Amino acid sequence: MVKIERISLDKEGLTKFFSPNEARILELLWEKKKMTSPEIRQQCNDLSLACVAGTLDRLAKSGFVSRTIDETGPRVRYIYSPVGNRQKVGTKICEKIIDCLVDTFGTSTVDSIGKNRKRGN
Amino acid sequence: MIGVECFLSCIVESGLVYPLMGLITITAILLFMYIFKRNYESLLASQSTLTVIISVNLFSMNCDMFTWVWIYLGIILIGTLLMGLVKHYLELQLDRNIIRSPPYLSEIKKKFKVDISVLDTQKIKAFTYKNRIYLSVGLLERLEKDEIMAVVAHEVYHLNHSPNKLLSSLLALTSLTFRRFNDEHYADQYAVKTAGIHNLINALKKLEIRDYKKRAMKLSA
Repeated sequence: MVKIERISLDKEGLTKFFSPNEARILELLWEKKKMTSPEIRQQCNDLSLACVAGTLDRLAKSGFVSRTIDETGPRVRYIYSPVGNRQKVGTKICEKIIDCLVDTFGTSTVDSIGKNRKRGN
Repeated sequence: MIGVECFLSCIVESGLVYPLMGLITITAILLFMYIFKRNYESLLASQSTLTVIISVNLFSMNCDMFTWVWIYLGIILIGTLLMGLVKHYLELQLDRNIIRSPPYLSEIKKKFKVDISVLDTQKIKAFTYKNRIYLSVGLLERLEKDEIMAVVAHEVYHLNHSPNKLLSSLLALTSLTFRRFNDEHYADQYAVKTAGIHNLINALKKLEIRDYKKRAMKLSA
């Protein structure tokens, strides 16, 4: 999950940085803001229960989603929400990549980003 | 002197012939008890006596050719210590993931007189460890109370009847025999008796247990 060695720039959209299941669940949570795990499962009914559960645990552990335990109903259940919106996650990933580039190439990374920024303006 | 002759002379010289014969008789009786009664206690006891027999044999050997056996035993000892460290680490991890039990579990705890801990994970988990049953939030949120009761009953059977997996694995290894703890069907039968077949099958189905159809058919037969 957004591990530098796992980044695949040849893939589409969010799957460059996340697994297809992680990307799918993140998109869902960004759209709905708050969801219980049975609701998430319902939206991903082509995936197995174990697969959805594992993905949610990974997303929660890596800090991209937060979960609270709801005990108000007849059953205990998790309520999931995204920790940041799409933009915030984008910033987090960019910072990680820039840190990695600076570690490897030093100041030339900063120069390059500066040049590209000017070109963009 | 090599082979059987060497082995016999070492045993005779060690003066342990009679104790060994006694141990062999006890092992045979325990094994017969296991074969006829199918109780784990007899199997574990017979594996323990077999381990003692093997150890006594090894200690009585004086030949140089047994040096490799000592090296092998050293490796087993180091391996066991490492396994203990890993187990300790896993226990710490388990403790870190425990959260407060929901109030409705207290009725189930009282009914079965067991301790139940809830694990903070979405994954479906139900297992026993050190006289305690562990259930995950992922499991609890999918099941009705009666179905949770069936799962707990299944685990209670393991708690009361199944041998410690690490101990049985170790004994199977040291006694050069086998390990048997595939008693899922007996645990299922106990759960059916305690919580009803409908609740157990529903729980297995909702949790998408891979072989649930097979288990359900076996229980219905």
